[in-house]
Amino acid sequence: MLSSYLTLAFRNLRRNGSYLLINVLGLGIALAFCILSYTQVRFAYSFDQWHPAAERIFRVETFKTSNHLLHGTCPASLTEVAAREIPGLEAATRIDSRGVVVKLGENVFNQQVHFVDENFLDLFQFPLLQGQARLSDRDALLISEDMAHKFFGGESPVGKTLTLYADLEAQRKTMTVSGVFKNTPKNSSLQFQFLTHLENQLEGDKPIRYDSWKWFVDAGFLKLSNPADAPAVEAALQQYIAPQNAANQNWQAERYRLEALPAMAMNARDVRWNNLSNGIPPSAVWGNITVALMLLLTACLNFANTTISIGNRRLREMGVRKVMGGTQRQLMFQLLSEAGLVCVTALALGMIVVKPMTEWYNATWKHIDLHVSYLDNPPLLYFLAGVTLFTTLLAGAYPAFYISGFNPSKIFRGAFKFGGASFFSRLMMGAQVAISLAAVVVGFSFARNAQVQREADLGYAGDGILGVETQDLALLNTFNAAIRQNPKVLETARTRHHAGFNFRQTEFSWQGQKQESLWFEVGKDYMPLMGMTLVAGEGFSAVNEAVGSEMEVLVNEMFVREIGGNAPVIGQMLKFDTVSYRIAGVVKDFMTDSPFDPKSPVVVHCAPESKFTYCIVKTKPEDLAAVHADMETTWKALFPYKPFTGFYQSEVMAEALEVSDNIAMTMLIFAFVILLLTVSGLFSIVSLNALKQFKSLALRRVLGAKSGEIAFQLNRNYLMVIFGAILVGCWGGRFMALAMMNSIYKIHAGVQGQSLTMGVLTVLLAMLATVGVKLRQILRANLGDALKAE
Amino acid sequence: MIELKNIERYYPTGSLKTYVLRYVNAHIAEGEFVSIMGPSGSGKSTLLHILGMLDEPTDGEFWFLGEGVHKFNERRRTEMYREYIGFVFQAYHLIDDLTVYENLETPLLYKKVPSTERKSRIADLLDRFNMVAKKDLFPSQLSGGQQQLVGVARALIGRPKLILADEPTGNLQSPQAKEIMEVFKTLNREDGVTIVQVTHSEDNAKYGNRILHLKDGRVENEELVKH
Repeated sequence: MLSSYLTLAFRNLRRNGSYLLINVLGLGIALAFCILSYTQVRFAYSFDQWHPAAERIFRVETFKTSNHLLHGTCPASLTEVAAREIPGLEAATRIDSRGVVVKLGENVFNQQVHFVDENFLDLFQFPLLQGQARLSDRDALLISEDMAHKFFGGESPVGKTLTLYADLEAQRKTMTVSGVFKNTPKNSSLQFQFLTHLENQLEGDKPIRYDSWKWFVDAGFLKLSNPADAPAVEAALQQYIAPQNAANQNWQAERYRLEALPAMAMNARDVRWNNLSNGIPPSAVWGNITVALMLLLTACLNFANTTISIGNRRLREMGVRKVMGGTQRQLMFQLLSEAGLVCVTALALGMIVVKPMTEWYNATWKHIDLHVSYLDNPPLLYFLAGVTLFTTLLAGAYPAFYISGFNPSKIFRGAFKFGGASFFSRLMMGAQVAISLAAVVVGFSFARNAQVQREADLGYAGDGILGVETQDLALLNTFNAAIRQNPKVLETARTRHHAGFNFRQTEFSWQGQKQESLWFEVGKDYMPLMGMTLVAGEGFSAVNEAVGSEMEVLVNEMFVREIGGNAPVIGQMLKFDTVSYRIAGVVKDFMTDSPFDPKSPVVVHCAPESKFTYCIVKTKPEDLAAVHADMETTWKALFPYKPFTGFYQSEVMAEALEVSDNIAMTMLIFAFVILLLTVSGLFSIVSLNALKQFKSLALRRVLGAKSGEIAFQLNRNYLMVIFGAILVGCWGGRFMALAMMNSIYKIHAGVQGQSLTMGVLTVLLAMLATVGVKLRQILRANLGDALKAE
Repeated sequence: MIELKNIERYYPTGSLKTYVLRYVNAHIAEGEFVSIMGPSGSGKSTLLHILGMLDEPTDGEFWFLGEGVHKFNERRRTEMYREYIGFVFQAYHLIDDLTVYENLETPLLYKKVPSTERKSRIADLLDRFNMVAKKDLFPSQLSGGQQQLVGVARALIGRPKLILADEPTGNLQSPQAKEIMEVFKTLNREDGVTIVQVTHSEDNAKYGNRILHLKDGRVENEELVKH
């Protein structure tokens, strides 16, 4: 029986080529998105899972007393002490990092170097490609295969030397590459290129005391004998609150918490000072699933609509089958098996299409590395079987039930036809329109957001700004003096903190209450150069280069709103530790970091010269590249053994703009596909409706109806549905776009009326064009034939 | 075989009832060949649909092989189609996407007849109707008469006790119509199949042994045909 069904299905599909093409394409693309989403979910939840003892490894995190926020750092000595004293702990290990100048021959590079305990690779599995780990050897260095290629090209680096801290004469250390490890996978929270022993980490010119309670490491891990002991171990860790707080008055710990290694990446965004890789944002995971489901739903609705529309041709067959002894159940099974055949064909297409789609996705999102393989991936095969069955039922059940349900007597009488105006058909079409409108609104909103971010008022003049960073004041001053000789350089300023690059987060006392804000220490020329404007007060009364603005600070508008309660703050006092500062003025809000981070209250203090680390350079926007090139040339001439650390200020927004552009492009493609599917579904329904009304429309024409009246007659059943769908689509699109933007950015353009209007107009235009094509066919139809047809 | 008692069929039109059949009483014995005649709108096709259980009377009783059809559920009705009733339609109603062979095979698939027996039964019928060479053709590749022969063969393949034919020659030329009617006659006489046909043709009606004349939904008279 099944083979008979399939034979019939093949022949039937061959006869309806355009129907097959539209649905296989629609469902194929939707299923490809489903596979991509599934693969991304697997990737998102695969972070750190491959370590053999992953279930038994926990990160120690710390709640800070002052703000009750969870921090990723932990006191340097905590894990070691705990491993010695708390039963049930097998091992402890730590990881810390800093930027280090690494030199080979005449080549110098700024690199992030990670410092670990010697048992680090006993707990975590990062395969070695060459050499040995030798982390207990203080002179040994492990490098990644990327770094091996960067520094040594095709040669084996094992046994060769690299100089660390090359820019600091006293601390310079020659280390031997003992091994090369495979690049850390992108689904690893621990990302590193250089690995060496903790004792090689310096503070100033001395090794850091990792047995101190004062120093915090990037991350501390404990390996438990039994993961079920985690609550008991966490409780026992609280005994180390007291020694930590006694040793560090400025950073009081409230509580320690254990985070299981496999859960770390997904929760990383809730952790301040995480220092490790954040994993994939949950919003990206759920956003993709939503997109895939919307696409699949639209494709299924389209499939159902087009199946019903060609179902008129199958009515006689259904009637005959019933009188030959076929039950409705058997007929439904037959129609469902035909739907299944379309879905399987679509799945085959989706399985092929997803390959280039994945490559595009990986290229778009640099932190993601998705691989789709089938034969060695049974869970994916189960997923594909499940999603195909689900799609077959979703797309095929209603048409199967609908088409197989008619009484044969009515069919054989010959006058029976079903149209596209039933409640369910209208509901399906309304759902398609609403989904496509929501997709279009999301696409336009993200496109608009990217445009707004490009033109956003950052609170400072970012155009024509360049900078260079160095920790050495003498170097900074030398470079500053040299670059000022370039006639294209309009101004320079030195500063400790720089908008978009760094700041300090600090606590202070305000009217007897503990408060927290960002703390910007800048040079006296910095704010004028950056175009930061004073909106109230007079600014710093006097600035001495040696001591800075001493007892005066400026605050931003957000400080006035959030901390000052919108009351006048000028003249009020802030107390940092034991020092009190007078607020001398209010500066306009400026973007302290990037749109991914929230606007925060800011305190600006004029720092003493000794703290300066940045030289900021202003030029005309058209001279940016030339000045940047001159900065690099000047730097290399002055400091041949120091890597150039210059940057464009536009880099601050680059990532946000790239993310916005990528999302906008993805959503616009997605909206386009959905809109195409909706248009084809709409065309099917309108055609079906036109077929049903063929005679009455022809009669109306004979009686003198104009094309507008014919159009109204043809579509009147859908007007309310479309109106409702527009409302739902606008609401849904706005909701989706805002949810996605809120989860990605802290500063964004939101959903503006313009995006909604353009979305509605686009969808309406597409629908009008679709209906117009059908209307044209009706108006051109031979009236004689039409009146004969019934 | 068939007992109709005061069968009525009406369609509500607003608050009124439009009767298509009224007080129809009839008895059809096994092995009979009954023709139903009457002008357009007299209720012939509706009566045939009721006999074929495609439609239900709004009033009255219909007994088939001693069972009350008014008590049948969908499942029982489907069993009747599989075991006892074969249909022949004026418009043939072959399944366009199936070949002659596959059209004949379909009722047997629903009856779950084993494969070897299916092949044997189809081969017999193809041979009997001289259609062996046509078995792999699609309906669109056949003439009207050939399509109707396939339609008759399909009705017979399940070895029904009753064949209901709704103007089986309405779309055919006279020679083809005659050929089909001869087939019916043979089936009735040699195989003992009960046949009820609706026809406009006096000549075709006389192939049967009784004619029911319908007018305005009522059985106006019954006529016995002498051969």
